[in-house]
Amino acid sequence: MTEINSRQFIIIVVFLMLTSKLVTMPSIVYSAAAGDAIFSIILNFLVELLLIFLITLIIIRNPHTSLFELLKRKLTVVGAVIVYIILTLYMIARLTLCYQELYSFFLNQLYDEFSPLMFAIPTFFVTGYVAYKGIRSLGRSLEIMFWFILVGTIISMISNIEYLQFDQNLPYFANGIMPVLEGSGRSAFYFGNSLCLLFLVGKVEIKPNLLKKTILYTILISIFIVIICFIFYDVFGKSMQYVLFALSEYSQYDPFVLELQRLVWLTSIIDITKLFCSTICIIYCIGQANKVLFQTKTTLLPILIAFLLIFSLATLLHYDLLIMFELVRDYLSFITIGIIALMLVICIYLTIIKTPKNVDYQEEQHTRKRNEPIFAKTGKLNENTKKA
Amino acid sequence: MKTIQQIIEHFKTVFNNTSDLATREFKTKDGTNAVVIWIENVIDQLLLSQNVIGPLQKFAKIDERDVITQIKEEFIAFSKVSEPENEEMLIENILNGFCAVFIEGSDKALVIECAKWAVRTPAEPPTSAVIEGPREGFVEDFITNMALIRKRLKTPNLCIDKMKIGKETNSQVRIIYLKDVADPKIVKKVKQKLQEINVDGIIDSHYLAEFLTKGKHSIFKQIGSTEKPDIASAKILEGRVAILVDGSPIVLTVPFLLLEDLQSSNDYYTTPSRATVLRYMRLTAALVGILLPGLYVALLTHHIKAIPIKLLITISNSIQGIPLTPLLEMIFIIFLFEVLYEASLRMPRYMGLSLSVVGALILGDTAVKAGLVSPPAVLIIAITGVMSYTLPEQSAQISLLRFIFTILGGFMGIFGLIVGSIFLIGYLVNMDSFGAPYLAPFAPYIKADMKDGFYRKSFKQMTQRPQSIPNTNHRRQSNDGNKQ
Repeated sequence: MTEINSRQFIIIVVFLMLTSKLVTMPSIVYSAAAGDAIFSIILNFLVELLLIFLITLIIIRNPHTSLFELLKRKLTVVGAVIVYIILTLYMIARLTLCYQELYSFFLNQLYDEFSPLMFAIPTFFVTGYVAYKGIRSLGRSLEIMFWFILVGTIISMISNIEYLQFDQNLPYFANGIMPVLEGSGRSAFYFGNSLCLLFLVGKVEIKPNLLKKTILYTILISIFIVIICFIFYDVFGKSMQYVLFALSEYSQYDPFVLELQRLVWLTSIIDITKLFCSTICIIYCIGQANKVLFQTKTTLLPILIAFLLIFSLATLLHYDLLIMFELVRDYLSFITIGIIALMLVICIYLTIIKTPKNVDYQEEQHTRKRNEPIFAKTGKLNENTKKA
Repeated sequence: MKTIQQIIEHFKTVFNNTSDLATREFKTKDGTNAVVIWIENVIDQLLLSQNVIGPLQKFAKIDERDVITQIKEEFIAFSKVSEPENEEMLIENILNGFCAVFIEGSDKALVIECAKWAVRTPAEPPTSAVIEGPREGFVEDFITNMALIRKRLKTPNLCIDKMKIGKETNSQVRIIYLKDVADPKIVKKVKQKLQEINVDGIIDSHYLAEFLTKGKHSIFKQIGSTEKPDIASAKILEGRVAILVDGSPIVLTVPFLLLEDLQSSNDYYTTPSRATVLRYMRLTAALVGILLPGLYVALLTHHIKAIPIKLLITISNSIQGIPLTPLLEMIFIIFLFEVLYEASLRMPRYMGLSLSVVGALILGDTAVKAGLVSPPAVLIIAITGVMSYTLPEQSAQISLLRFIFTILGGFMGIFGLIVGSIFLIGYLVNMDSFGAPYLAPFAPYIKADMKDGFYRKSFKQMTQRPQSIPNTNHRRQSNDGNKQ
C-alpha cells in the first residue's frame, strides 16, 4: 500500500542528504584531507548518488512489495534477515551519532548545563511519536519543515560570503590523490543515510518522472552541500578541523553576528531541527527493521528497545561527541564503506535480476504468512498476492 | 371508537397534564362533535381560529367518505396538512407546531401546520463581521437558515436530507450538500455518524460537532462552523456537507481543514493581493501568539546571552525586584488575561466596558507598580492576546498552546520549544476530518489548492474546486473563467 507521494519521497531524500552532513561531517573530512576535503565530499556524493539511483529504481520497479519480501524472494529468508540486521546495526550507530550531535549541540551552543535525562525523555517522546505514527506522518511533517530549514540554511550560508578567502586551501592535490581518498573513507559514515530509503520500498506512490526528479534533486542538494562546505572551508581555512558544529560555528565568524549572537541562534535552531528530522527518519527505519526481525505487530516496542540501546550507548560514551567523532573517523566509516559496498551489490542484484515467475505458490504463502500480513491496510489484497 | 372527551383525556394523559396543552371543542354544521388540540405559544392563534376552527364549524358531511378525508381534500386550504399514520407521529406533529383535528365518528386525525415560533430576523453575526460583503447571518430557526442557503444556491442539485436526533428534544437536523459535487462517501459517513447518535437531547449544533469529531481528547476542532450563509454556501459549493440543527444559528460543515480558519470571508470581498497580505499577517500573528511568551521565558531563564545587549539592559531594569521567576510571572499574567476574558464574556454588557478598563488600567498598571509583574511580560501577553484573535475561530486553541509552550520554554528553554513544535506538527499532520488531511494543502502539498491557500489568486484563476476535500466534480469553471 502506498503511503507517501513522490513529492514526500523526494523531500525525505533531500532531508536524509542535507541533515546529516552539515554538523560534524565537514570537520572530519578536513581533518583527513585538509585542503582537498571538498573533493572527498564530491567523491562520496557520487557514490551516494549511485546508491540513491539504485534504491529509487528498486522502489519504482516494486511498487507493491516490501523490502523484506523482495529480499526474501531474491536472497532467501536468511539473506533477508542478514541484510536487515546489517542495516539495523548501521542505523543504530548512525542514530547514536545523531543523538550525540544533538545533545552536544544543546550543551555547547544553547545551555550552560543540560541534564542528559532532560534531553533524553522529551527527545524520545517526540521523535518516537512521529516515527511510530508511520511514514505518512513523517513525510507530511518533513513537508511542513522543509522550507523553514532550506531558507534557514541558505541564510546561514550566504551571510558570510563576504569573508570568503579563496586561496585558503590552494593548491589542490598538493599531496596527490591519497588525502582525497582518505577523507572520503573517513567520512563515509555520513553518506550511508540513504540506506534508510530502502525501507520505503513498496510505500511510495510511483509517478512517471520519479526517478528523474529524485536524481535531479539529489544532484542539486549535493551541489548545495558542496557549496556550503566550500564556503565553510574557505572561511575557516586550516582552523576548521577544530570547528565541530559546522554551520553554527561558521556564523560566529561574522563580527557583527558575534556581538549580537543572533544568527548563531538561528543557525543553531535550524541545525537542531534538521538533526531532529534526521533522527526521526532513522528511528522510523529502525522501527520498521525491528518490526520485521522481531515479528511485532507495531513499531512501538522496536522503537522503545532501540531507544534504550541508543541511550545506553550514549551513556557509555559519556555523551562526549569527541569520542564519537574519533570512533566515526577511525572505525565506523570504514565499516560503513563495507556496508555501502555490500548494499550497492545487493541493490544492483535487486535491480538487474528479475523475480522468477514460477515461484512455488506454497512456499510463497508460507513465507508470507510468517513475515508479513497478506492484506494491506485497506483490506484489499496486495498486488503480489493477487498474482500469486 | 373514542368519544371527543375520551380523546381529550387520552392526550392530557399522554402529555402528563401539561398546562400548555390547549383543546377547543366545537360542533360542526351537521352537529358532529369535534376537537382541536395544540400546544399553546407555538401556534399562530389567529390563523388557528380564522382558518381552522372557523371553517370546521361550517363543515357538513358531503358523502360517505371518512370525514377527515373530506376535510383534508375539500375543506382546508393549508399547504401542510396530513393524516398521521400512528399516534407517535401525531404527538410529534403537535410538538412541532401542528394542531390536531378530531371529528367524532372518525378514527383518523388531521394535523395542520399553524406554527409560529419566536424567530429573530437575520442580522450580522457578532463573530463574523465584514467590512464589505453580505451581512446576513443564520438565526435559530432552521427553516429560515435553509431559505438563506437556498437563496444563494438556486439549483435542483442542492439536496437537503432530513433527520431527527435526541430522544427528548427530537431536534430537526438537515444535511445539505450539492448532489453532483459532494463526495457520496462523505455524505453517507455523515448520515451514518448522525444516525448512530443516541442521546436524550441536542440543544445546539455544537453538541453534534462533538459527536462527529474523531477522537475524544483532541484540542483542535475537526468540524467547521459558521454563522454566515455566504460562507456556508461557498463551502457547500466546494463539495462540503453542511449540517443544520433547529434552534442553532451555527451551521456545521465537513470536512474541515485548518486552512479554513486562516481564511476569512473578507478575503473574498477584497482584492487578491490584499487578501494574501492579510493571510500572511494572520498566520504570523497566530505563530507569535503561540510562541512569544514561551520564547521570552526561555530566553530569560536559559539563554540570556541570545538577547541583544540593549534589549537585555531594558529588560533587566524592568524585571529588577520582581519576586516571581519569569515562568511564574508569565503564567500569572496569562491566567489573569484569561480570567478577564472569561469575565468580560459573562458579565452584563454595560459592565463589560468598565471591566476592560479595570482589567487594563487597575490590574495591569497596579500590578506593575506594585512590582508583582514586569512591564515587558504584561506587554507580551497583551500583544499575544490581541494577535490570537486574528484567528477568532482558533483563539481557544491558540490560548491553550500559548500556555503549553510557555511551560515548555520555562522548563526546557529553546529545546522545549523545538520539541513542542515538532510534536505539534507531527500531531497535526496525523489528523484528518472525514478523509481530508487536516493540514492540506500544505501537508500533503496540493499545488492546485495553493491558489486559495497561503495566498489567494483571483476567482478567474481558481478554475477547480479544492482537491483537499474529496469531491466528485473538480471543475469549477472553464480555464478562462468564462461560460463554457
